[in-house]
Amino acid sequence: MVQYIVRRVLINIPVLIGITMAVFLLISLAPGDPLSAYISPELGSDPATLAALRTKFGFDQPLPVRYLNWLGQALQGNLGYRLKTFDPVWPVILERIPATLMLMATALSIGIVVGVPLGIFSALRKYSVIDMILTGGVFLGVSTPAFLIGLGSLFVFSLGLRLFPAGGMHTLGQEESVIDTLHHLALPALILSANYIASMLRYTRASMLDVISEQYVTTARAKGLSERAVILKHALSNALIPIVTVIGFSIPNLLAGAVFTETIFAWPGMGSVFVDGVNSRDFPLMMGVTLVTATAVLIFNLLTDIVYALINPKIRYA
Amino acid sequence: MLIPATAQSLSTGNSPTQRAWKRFRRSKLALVGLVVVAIMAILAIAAPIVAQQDPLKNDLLNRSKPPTAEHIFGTDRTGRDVFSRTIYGGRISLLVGLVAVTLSVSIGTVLGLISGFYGGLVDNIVMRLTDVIMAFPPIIIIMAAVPIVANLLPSEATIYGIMAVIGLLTWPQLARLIRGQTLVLRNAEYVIAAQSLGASKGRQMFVHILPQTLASLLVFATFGIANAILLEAGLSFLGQGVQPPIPSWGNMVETARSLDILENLPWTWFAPGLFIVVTVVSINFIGDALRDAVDPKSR
Repeated sequence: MVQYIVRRVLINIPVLIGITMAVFLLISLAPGDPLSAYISPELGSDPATLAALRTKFGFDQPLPVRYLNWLGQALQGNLGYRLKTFDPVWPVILERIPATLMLMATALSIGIVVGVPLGIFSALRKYSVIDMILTGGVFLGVSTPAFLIGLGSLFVFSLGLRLFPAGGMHTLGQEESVIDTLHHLALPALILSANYIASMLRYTRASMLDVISEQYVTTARAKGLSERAVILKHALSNALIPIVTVIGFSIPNLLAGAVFTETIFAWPGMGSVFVDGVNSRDFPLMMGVTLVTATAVLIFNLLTDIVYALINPKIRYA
Repeated sequence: MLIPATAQSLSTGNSPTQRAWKRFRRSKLALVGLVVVAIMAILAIAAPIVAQQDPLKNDLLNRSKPPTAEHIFGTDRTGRDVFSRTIYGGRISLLVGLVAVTLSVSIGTVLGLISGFYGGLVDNIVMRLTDVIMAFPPIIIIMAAVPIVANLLPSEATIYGIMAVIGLLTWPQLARLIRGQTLVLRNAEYVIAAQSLGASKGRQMFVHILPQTLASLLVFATFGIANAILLEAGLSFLGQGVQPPIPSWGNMVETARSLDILENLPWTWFAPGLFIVVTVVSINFIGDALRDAVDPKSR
């Protein structure tokens, strides 16, 4: 197992290097003074000083050298400085990560808790009216972009029925409380989970249908087990294995979805600060978020691989 | 290609394409989807005939009007006809989808073929490249790249930059798919036979192997168009896509980010929103039925 984990980590290192190269390429292509990519603006702004800084920090060096300089700084947590406010980028992102994680984790949980049982149900009642309705719902859920579901719900639940607040994480002027945060979290999390419920349902249904026709399930039935035991103990535990990978590879989409839900609901996470950055052409901030999210995806993929191996011995010893 | 070839000789032959078309026809939803997509395409192509009013003309006397006989989808903040804007917006949205997918399918196919056929170092480089691109959440890398590409292009060419960025960043899934099939096919007897008859590597790849991968390529392209339409809409919704006053479905919905418009002028964003959903659902219906029709497992 340790050997397997070490191998997975090693495989991901070239990918991580590739990610940093891609981000650096974008930084070099971005308009504006590359100095802003990691020089604190407090060091001065007159041309002579800047020219001296440029030599000092190696901006007259060839591209590979500049890449290594940049990488060295990035590894120490220096992702540059925001163009307008001059705040260092990394702390700005770090401060936003918990809100995004909270939103994603809630959406992920809703997706699993709602999507998996519905998928099982849909598979057991294949081609029934309910299965058809659920399959139709899946198509709608997969095809409706998060921003439309977001706007629609904002229109109906926040502006029409006034059940939920229209944005933010806390009610202004009120003391922060868990209930208040949950009240603000509910709608964006539900919306972010919509696409996710749909894909969870779809994959659980397919995986369940695959498993149900296996011979060991027929055997379990033949030895007289109750249908409940056959489905829940024998079929489900195997049907869920591929579902773990679905959780893993939907992380990029969940992050992308968070960009929209956070923007619509003014949720103070990485997604909304990223959109602010893009709108104000704040390239250091944009690139910082891009680098952080891609690295996060890589880490989540690694974790998925490990969990998958833990529950599926066939992979571990392969 | 798939459809006309079979439609004319349905009753007679029994080629794989004909059998696939028969299976495809069994899905009522896919046929509905096909009709809807055809209607959308016709509306987009015939936009100047269907939508008589100028989508860009402000009419300050008729601002923010709900739907009437004259303006069937109403008018927006500056009195522009929402129906015309929706129809012309479809032109842009569908065009972006088509061009982006053409680009991504071309890159994915060629790199997948080369990667699977040559193997070794080439394969390794291409596959690591797909790993890197797929690690970036799609909308984030596209949002980061579009302003940079747009900065290099004159402003009226931004739309081509968007098509290029979407196309350049969505090919890895197809490349992996084609590579997997090529790995198997390059050792197939008929390819070995062609090789021993002196067929060049290019001929083996593009004449002998490529046709066998067309089915999965077609399925990918179908879902890819839906995906590209969603990406453009999302990009425009966040203000980085098609720039106003030129309408696209995404940037029409974008105006509803103002709570005032969301609450008080619902007709301005509801129509383009509905067009996005209906188009994408229809394309997904087609894609799903296509996948079932060409998948050997379901035969």
